[in-house]
Amino acid sequence: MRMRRRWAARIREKARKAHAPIGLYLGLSFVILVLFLFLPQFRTPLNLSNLLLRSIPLLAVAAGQTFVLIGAGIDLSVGSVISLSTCVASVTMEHNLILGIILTLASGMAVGLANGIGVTKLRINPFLMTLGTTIIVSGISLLIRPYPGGTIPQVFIDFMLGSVGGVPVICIVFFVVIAGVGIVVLRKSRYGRHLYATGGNLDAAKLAGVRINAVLIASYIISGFAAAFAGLYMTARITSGDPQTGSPFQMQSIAAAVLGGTALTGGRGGIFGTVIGVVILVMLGNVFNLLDINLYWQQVLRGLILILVVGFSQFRALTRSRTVLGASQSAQGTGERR
Amino acid sequence: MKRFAIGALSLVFLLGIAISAMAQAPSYTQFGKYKKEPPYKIGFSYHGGGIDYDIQFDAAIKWLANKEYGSLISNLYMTDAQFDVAKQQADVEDLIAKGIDGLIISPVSPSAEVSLINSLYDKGIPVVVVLGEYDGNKYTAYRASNAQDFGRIGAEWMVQQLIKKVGSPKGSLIVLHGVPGAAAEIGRWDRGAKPVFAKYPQIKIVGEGAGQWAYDEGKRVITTLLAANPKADMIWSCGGQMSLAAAEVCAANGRYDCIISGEDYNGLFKFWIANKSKGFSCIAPTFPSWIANTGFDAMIQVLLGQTVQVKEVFPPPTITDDTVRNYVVPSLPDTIWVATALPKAVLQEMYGKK
Repeated sequence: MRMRRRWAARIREKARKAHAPIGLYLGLSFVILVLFLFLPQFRTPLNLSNLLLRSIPLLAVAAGQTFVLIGAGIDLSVGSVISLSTCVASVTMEHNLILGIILTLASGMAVGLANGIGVTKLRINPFLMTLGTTIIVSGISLLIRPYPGGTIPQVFIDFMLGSVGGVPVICIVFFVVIAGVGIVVLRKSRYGRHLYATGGNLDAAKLAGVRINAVLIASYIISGFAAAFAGLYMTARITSGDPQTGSPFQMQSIAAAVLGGTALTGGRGGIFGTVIGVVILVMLGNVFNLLDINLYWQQVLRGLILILVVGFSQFRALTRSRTVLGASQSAQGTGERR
Repeated sequence: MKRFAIGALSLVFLLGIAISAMAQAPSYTQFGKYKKEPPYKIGFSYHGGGIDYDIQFDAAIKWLANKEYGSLISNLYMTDAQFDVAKQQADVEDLIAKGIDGLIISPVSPSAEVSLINSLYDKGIPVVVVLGEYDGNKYTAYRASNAQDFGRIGAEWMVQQLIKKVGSPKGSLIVLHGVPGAAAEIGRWDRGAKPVFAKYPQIKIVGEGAGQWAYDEGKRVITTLLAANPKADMIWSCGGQMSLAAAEVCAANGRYDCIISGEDYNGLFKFWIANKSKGFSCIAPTFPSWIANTGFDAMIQVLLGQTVQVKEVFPPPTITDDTVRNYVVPSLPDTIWVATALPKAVLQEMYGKK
């Protein structure tokens, strides 16, 4: 009995500390179980493999976005960086594959660096700075490739989408690496701690000796790199460069991170939650299609789910802060009476 | 020797004729290759979604499936990609997961779906590509309107009008794009109209903007571009409701003489007829939604085991000053696209009397 109580207490404590609402994890697990049991098309190996394949670009870009959001910023340019990456890849890879990959990733990091410098050194609001770079980068993409096309080496496509016996092995590796590296950097590294500190309270972090500018610039570079990687992956998926392909990822990446419990106000969140957010978003689209739900209803439901999950998370944070405030006030009152 | 030479030459000549005839002859699908027992599950992955054209398009396909092939079809699954390449790929994968018997697809981009469609074709799934530009060559059937002709016809008419107006192909041009990078935009502008204007070096492009094929965005863009270039001679519009927006902005500036290209939008036709006496003139190549219905027909035929022509590209029917009155539907709202397979009664039911 005492053991059970201790376990329950530990679970409650874990839930309290979790970045994403624990209810979300339980709810998602329940939904997946129901889908497995009652929607035969969902559990087919082909469908599960497709889900994995299409989750990679969103996972990469949402992971990068999570870094920026934790630093109390926002990166609207990720969609345009994906488009740029496909365009750069499609004009460079046919000449030299390795150089093409390096240039593509470097272009994304360069946009991230520009965003970081704009936000920290020039003190431009992150929303406006990254909106500006979105417009610039979209224009550059159209200059590089006014319409879709280009030649992508087959060896690159085969590698990025590689599967063994129908199992998308490379995809699984990408999934694990992106999630794993993200979690380790944020939770275990000094950089991660500094990023949380900077996003949570900029002044306090500064006083504590954190090099906030360097930390924030690095978060934008990581986001640019992640978006460029997503672009490379999309290049393999669409086997061409396309100046429009990244646009939908702009909002989806923010939605995935926020769904997973990352706060738009900074200092709170994590990659594990983002992974859950990505799974939810990718699964929603899939299940809506499998259930043949009308597109307009799909949009209504997507919006409702986003508001419900984020609203629940906010409500939970609010009630928790009230509880803490109440406890401290009552402690103060007790102290005074003493 | 002479006879032999004449005989050999004749043979070569005949062979040449035969080979060129074979090269030009349309190819047909293999008889019975995709034959299946009905009823069929058909998947339709549409490139857009949400705008007037798409709503009408959606209704036309469902009407056809129900009226003509009701007993042959058990399920018609339709998805809208909303001009999102990644979403269209996901949609197609989902349709395949649902076990469809055949896929009809209007691609978002001419190239992005090529590898996906190739892989489905190689797996033996019948794929019919419809409507727009497509760069691949592996499909069961292809039914499209020639987007390049759409752009070319409008541009050539505009140049002729310019010559009539100023005596030479010399003037200024504003270009109103749809969605940059989209298949229809590439076909109509990059591969259709642009090469026509490029032949006349004295025609200068003085402004360009993307109206997203929407009325409000088109109006905002053209208002700015016309304010910057109030004497522009021509506006080439990539079609959609943007053409009406361009015509209205010109009219508001007293520029009924501005040469504009349009599309088969009922609102534009009403404006056109109402302002013809003031000097307004236009041309409307069409992007008929009934072409997708021909793709649907092709899909049903191959599933029934019949043979169909692999590739059919229809020239865009064009509406001019002389014929616009035959196409306008005054009793219906502006938002109707007149080149549709939907009967007027169905349109009345959908949109109601004005």
